[in-house]
Amino acid sequence: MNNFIKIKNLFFNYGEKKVLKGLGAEFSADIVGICGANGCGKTTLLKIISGIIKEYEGEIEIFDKNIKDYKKKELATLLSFVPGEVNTPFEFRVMDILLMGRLPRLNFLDSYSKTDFNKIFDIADKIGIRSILDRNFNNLSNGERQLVLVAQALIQGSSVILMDEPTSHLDINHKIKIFDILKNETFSRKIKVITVLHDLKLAADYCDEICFMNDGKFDFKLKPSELLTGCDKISKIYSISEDKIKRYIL
Amino acid sequence: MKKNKNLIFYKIFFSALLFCLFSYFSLTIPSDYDKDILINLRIPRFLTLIITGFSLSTAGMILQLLTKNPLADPFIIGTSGSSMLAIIISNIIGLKFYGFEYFFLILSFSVSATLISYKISVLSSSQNTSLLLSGIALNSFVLSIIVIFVIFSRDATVNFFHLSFGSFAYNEYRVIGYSFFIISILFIIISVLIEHIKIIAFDEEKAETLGVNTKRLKLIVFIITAALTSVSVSVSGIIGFVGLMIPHITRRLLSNADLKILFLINAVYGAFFLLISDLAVKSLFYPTELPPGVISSIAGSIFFIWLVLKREKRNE
Repeated sequence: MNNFIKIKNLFFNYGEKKVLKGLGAEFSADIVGICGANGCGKTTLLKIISGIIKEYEGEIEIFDKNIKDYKKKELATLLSFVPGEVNTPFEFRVMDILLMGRLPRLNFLDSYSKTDFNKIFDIADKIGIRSILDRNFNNLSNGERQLVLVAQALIQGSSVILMDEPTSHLDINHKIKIFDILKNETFSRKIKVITVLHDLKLAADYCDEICFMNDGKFDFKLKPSELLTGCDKISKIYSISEDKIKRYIL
Repeated sequence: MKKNKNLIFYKIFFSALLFCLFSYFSLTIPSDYDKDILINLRIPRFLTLIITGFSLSTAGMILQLLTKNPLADPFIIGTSGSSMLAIIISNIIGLKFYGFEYFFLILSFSVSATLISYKISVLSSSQNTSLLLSGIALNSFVLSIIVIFVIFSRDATVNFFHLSFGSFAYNEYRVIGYSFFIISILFIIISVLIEHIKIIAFDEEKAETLGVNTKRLKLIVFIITAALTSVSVSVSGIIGFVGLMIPHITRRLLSNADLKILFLINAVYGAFFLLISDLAVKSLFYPTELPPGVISSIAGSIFFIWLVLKREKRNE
């Protein structure tokens, strides 16, 4: 199995505070879950991989090429980032937001073509947001907003999707819906998903590999089937007792 | 239903516009004297007002989108004030109106004012409030320096009054032509960049991962807004709050329009608003004429307070 992302010796500080301390990892599974206690640097790691944060030390390779060697637009066609939440004071139609996903494929001075629109209608149908295309993003429910953001990432057509706690504000049916969509996409279009998750149950159900982070480093990897046997290690990371973790996962 | 409402609105808008234009030029039987007034006073005044309305409302709209702050406005964050300072300085040292050095001086002042306000707001944790606070500080700083110049220089005193509350009179055709040329270039650049600006207004991190170089784009667009503001200040002085009010009104009236069209309509509304307020300042206390900044400041400050109250209510 080939590793599509390789991270070597990654260091990053927010001012004085050290966030990532020599992190190294290789990802190969279809859906990778990143878990860990609050403040251990999960979101920072995602932001570094997706190119939002640039002032880091270390090397990150995507498809065997350092991300600093990619052009910005090139990278945008390889990676797409789904933020956990978007707050904007302005009114955006859902259609406008989905169109933004086609921007990396647009040449300078071009405007959106018919294929762009067709692509959007396709994916909107698949995800079931066709009926809300004309609505205002700020008037949607949390679940619908997250669906729109996931749709935007799919429309971007990249091979890797990075998600920052995509389902933490959502009810159960939206959580399951979003992950079902992603699972389908990994089968049908061979895309890869890396997602930060708080919900271990969800991770056990959908991820092919779960990486646990602790104090700015990767601690260990588990397959979903090994989750119960690995409870002793997990309990150390979250510093609560093994029984409680077991009861939560079950 | 919604389309109908829009259509009715457009009909009212255009008939009002036509009415204003007619009463503005009062096209009766033209004698030579009338022609003289029309060509040398009314038309330059009308064109000046269009330039100001276009540039201020566009600058306001883009500043609001870029800083994600609905209270941003070139007057409030101190860009207009700094342009005025630059104009007074260039008058004192005797730069030629619309020479290269003149525009460069004004532009550099207004760009640095915009960037200072923005940088201060980024450093602080509550960006929305601190953008306004740094604007207040910058405005009063600039005003005190202007006052020093005004006290020591006789020439500046006359300018001071016209600049600080605005005036649409006293513009040659050459100046108007230059200004139109500059703002049309700026408008073209904006319409090219508008898709990118839209994404930044949506989410800056998302923009970064969609291949937008946010830092560079922000710098470019800040310079554009500063340039728009300095054009408007140099043809008509400071007219506050236009950039704050008009974008809100436009967005409220046309919430579903695409940003590409919205910013053009917004510019037209800006000019329309100034047309009405100019009619008002000329006719309210006839024959005494008020400076146009008076009306827009009265309306704008009330609008500003209403906007702040509305935001407070929503945050509760």
